[in-house]
Amino acid sequence: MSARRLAALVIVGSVLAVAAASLAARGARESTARAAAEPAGGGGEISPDLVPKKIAYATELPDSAGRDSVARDIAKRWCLLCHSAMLITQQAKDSAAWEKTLGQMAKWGVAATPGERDTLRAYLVRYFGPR
Amino acid sequence: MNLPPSTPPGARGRVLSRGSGKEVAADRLARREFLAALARAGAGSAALTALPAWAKQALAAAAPAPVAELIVRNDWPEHWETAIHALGGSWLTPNERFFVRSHFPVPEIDPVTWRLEVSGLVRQPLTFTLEEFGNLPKTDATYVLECAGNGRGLMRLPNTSGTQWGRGAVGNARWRGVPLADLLRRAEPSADARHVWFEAADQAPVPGPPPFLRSLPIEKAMDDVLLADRMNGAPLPRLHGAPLRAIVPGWFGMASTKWLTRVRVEAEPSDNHFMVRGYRYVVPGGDPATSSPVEEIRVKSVITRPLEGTRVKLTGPKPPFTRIQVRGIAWAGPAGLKLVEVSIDDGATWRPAGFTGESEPMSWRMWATEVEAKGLRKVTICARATDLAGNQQPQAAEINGAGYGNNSIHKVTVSVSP
Repeated sequence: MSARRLAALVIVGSVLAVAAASLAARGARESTARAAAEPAGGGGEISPDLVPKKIAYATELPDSAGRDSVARDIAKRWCLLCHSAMLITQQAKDSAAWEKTLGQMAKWGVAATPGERDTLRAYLVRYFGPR
Repeated sequence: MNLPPSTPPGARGRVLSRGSGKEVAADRLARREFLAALARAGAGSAALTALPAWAKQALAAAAPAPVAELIVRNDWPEHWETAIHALGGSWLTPNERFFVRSHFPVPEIDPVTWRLEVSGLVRQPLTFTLEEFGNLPKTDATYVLECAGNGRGLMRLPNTSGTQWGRGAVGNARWRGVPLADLLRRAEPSADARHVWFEAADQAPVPGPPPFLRSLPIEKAMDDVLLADRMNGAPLPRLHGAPLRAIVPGWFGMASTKWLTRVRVEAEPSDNHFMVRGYRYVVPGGDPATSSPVEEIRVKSVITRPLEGTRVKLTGPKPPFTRIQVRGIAWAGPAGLKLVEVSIDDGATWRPAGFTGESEPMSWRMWATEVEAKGLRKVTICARATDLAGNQQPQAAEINGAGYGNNSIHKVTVSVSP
């Protein structure tokens, strides 16, 4: 790394550190103020990152012991075009119900081969079958 | 149709950023604390907009805050629920705590080229720019908005799809907008006009899925529907449909189309998937097309204090204290809310709660009461609401395959601190 880049990084680092310290103090004040001043207008932008939040389900598709990478890749390639993994990881459905879901998705454009579909269904039932 | 096996176009930060090895080398814990501090700094912080990309991405993965006001049940499209402890703290639900349910990614809308059209079976089709719409006379009203799937997760259905909502996909907000009736009267619907279709700017990230398009009977559209551009005194947030959404009072949330671009007057109801297959009360094995549509909100109450599983302190006018303070919210469809009752003997006897705070037609109401817990170590508190048409919350709502309209009685069990 060149000396110039290193210097630039140090500067960026100290700016961030100062910002963090002042924001931490300000954050404590503002969160109290926000709680007191209801109703708060949200303005044009709202992000869950700005509100204390809880992530309810796994955000990644599972691959225990690396055995399911093929199935997981099929799921990533097709399912995650339109929605996050969480919509899958919160479900508990049997094979027939997953097949119904896959049929619906096929109508909506998922062009997985019959073999891929079988692999995917078995994967979904294995991890997200009836509880 | 063939879709490219590439990165999902709708995919965003949280999913893609996890575990990336390219981030700046830094102590992970220190960074998480820094990010948590940034997160606490709140929405108004200018520093947040100037954050480096790694920080923005990693914000989502920052250490969970001690009190979660929002529960993320799906990160994209956004399905966010308000945690029960954050419900009912005020009559109006602050925008940043209001539940979010979207079918597709938030659309990019150019305010310069945006138009609202009123067309179809009308004599005078209308078009408005954002500025022209802004100049129309506005009305304010407070309405409750509840997702049709609110409580689906609590039905514990085998094999249901969709987001497993708890009780918090509901909120109460002050909306400002133009009564749809004003625009329809100006447009002069023709004699065969029977339904109003709401077209919107959102769409699936891929070509296959149908658009989300709902319609309403013209009687409802002419009655009390609002086209809202403000929410709780602020410009309508993008996540809630900016620049313009429909608000259909007394109906479940799916009717209140976000990112509205066109009001189309038609002779027939929309035959969109989300009208004829989705949003129907289908008994297991039944045919959606002949099942009743999900429309009006069902009467419902939620206990917001005390919280499930907590230890409560007894109160009262003077020692020895024997009572538990109970608070909650309750709402109903167009019939209107009549009363809320509370029971601590699993419904054998009920005592009415008192309403507190403000009230408007089809808004929610806050209520409060106290229950006698003398000598009890554990108490299960039940709350039951009744509407003016005589509908009452059931012990267990009737089962339908997709888990819509779950208005089962809310029960909260607490232990008593002597």
